[in-house]
Amino acid sequence: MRILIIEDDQVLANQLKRKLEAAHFAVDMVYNGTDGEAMGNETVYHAVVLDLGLPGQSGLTILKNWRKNNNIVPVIILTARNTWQERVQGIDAGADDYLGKPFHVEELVARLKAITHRYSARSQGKWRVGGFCLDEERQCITKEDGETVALTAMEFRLMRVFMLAPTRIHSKESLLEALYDLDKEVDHNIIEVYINHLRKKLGKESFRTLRWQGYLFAPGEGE
Amino acid sequence: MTRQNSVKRKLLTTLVVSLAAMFFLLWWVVSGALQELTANYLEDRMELEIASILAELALDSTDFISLNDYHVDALFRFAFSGYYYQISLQGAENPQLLRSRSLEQFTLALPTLPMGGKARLFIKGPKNENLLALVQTIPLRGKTLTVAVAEDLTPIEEDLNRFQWIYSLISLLFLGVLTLTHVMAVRRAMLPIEQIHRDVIQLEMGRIRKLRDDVPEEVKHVVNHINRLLLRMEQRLVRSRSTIANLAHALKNPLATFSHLLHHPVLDGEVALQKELEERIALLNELIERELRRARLADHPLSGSFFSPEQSLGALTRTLKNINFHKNIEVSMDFSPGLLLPFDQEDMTEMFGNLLDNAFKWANERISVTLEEREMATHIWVEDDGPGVNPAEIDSLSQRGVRFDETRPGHGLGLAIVRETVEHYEGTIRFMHSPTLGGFRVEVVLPVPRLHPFQ
Repeated sequence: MRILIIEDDQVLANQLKRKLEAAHFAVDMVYNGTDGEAMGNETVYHAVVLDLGLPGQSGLTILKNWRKNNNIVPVIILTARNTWQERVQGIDAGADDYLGKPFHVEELVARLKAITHRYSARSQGKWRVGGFCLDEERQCITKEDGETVALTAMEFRLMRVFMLAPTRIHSKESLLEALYDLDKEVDHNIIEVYINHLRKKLGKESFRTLRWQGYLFAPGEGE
Repeated sequence: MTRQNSVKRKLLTTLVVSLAAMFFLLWWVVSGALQELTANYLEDRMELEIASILAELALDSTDFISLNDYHVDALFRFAFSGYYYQISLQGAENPQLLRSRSLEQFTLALPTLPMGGKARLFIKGPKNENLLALVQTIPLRGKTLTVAVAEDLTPIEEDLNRFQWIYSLISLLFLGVLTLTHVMAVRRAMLPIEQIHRDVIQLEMGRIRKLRDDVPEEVKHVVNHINRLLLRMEQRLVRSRSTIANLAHALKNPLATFSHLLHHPVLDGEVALQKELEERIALLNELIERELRRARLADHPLSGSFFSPEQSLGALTRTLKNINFHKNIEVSMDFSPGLLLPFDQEDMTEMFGNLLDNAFKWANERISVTLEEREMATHIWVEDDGPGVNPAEIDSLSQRGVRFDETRPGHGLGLAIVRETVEHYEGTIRFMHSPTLGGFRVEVVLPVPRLHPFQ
């Protein structure tokens, strides 16, 4: 498995590299944010270990940019600022796990192995989750019974976010960020409207509303 | 507000006393003036009567006076009519006294006046009534003629009394109305102060961030000043927190590097040294963590933001579910929507993060979080359907200062953080068996912070 470490402390990064290589990972390393973001976009990694306090580009920004560009590489955040407030920010930005410094390399390895299994595989520009298949070229979704449903541009963008990370609960805010530019003032309720549209097209039970948490795309699970 | 030092009381006392004094003075002046006016009017009339009596008075050569009383007012002829005259001549050989028929046998007690004198006086009449009398002495052939006309004051006094009664009543009514108006005006004027008081309580409870500044000019500068202070406190809090976070970052990175360097090939074989150093580094880490947390917690709870369970617990649950995606755990949250609690958002997020993290580690399928606001305290329960703990463990967990054993990574430290937070807010924490879910239950009771009892 090929992983990328973005960490500005070179000694720590080199130690990590050595140990992860001992655990049979192929490790690439970069010491600043700007290069890290580019590398994450150029190469397909199985996972990224991302430090938050980086020179150049902050870890959180890198993560948000990747997610915005549909880069769904699993990310473990590594940080010394070990508060829950930051953990929430990190996970909402699209991270898959969070590890506070100091940590045991064994734990990092265990978590890396756990998250690399998370995402569904991509095949010829099509995404399959629970009987649904999202076609990126034609911007439509095919149901289990073969019926094809056309999606509007906004519905497609929203659907792509859900299909990319099917086990993930998405907050209204993060969904909004996927649809609009950050500086735009948009009412949160617009998300509810789109979800309702999608529910009508794909079936009521395909989306779960989790009170105060967000939305979960869970086809076949039901309420 | 004490009794002695109430602005409201002082204002009202001054106003009511001055109003009462003004009304009394007015009443006294008006009553006196009326009496005086009446007396003057009567005197003018009696002067005319004296003149008409003098016109009818005849004096013969033997110094004998006589009066043709058919030409004076008929009222002087009816017995005790209230209109009297009395004429006397002194200095003659035979002093003479001429009285109106209305006097019957009664003689008016008149003072002796100097020659040419004229006096108005109050005397008693034949029926002991009050009379106003006008006495005039006139020189007559070397003798002294004294003419007195008197009039019963009773009907006039009655009128005056009635007038005074009505006037007093109206005055009292006005006094009452004005006092009431003033009480209301003062109360209205004091409303902003009461509003500020309420705001301060709300502020203390964390329900608002600053005092409302839609207050009258007189108190506005105080409110603005307090708001400026609050802002500065908040800024200071944010700054100190970011400084602490930076320090943590700066300290922990090299420590992490040290601990990883311990496993460098150079040190291979030095097991004892590695172990020793590792323990020291772990201790150092723990110290840094604890002291940083303490420094952060030591901040004033008032200046921080208030805690919204909806926002915080929702985000935490989402985060924990996303991290623990391989587990399918249902989290039920029970608290009234829109609930805001007077505790620092970050402290509470940290506390609930650790409680929920712990619950996620142990739960099989279900976790429940309950928040309840009871008499000046917030009751919190976080429970799971995991294996729970046996009674002996509960006892050891509940003891103060007992270190939580790490049976799973992260377990012990998390609950230690929770305990520190709870102690900082002067609350209590208890561990028990969960009666509803069957696993572990943590009960936290946090009293609503009230720095000073206001009332």
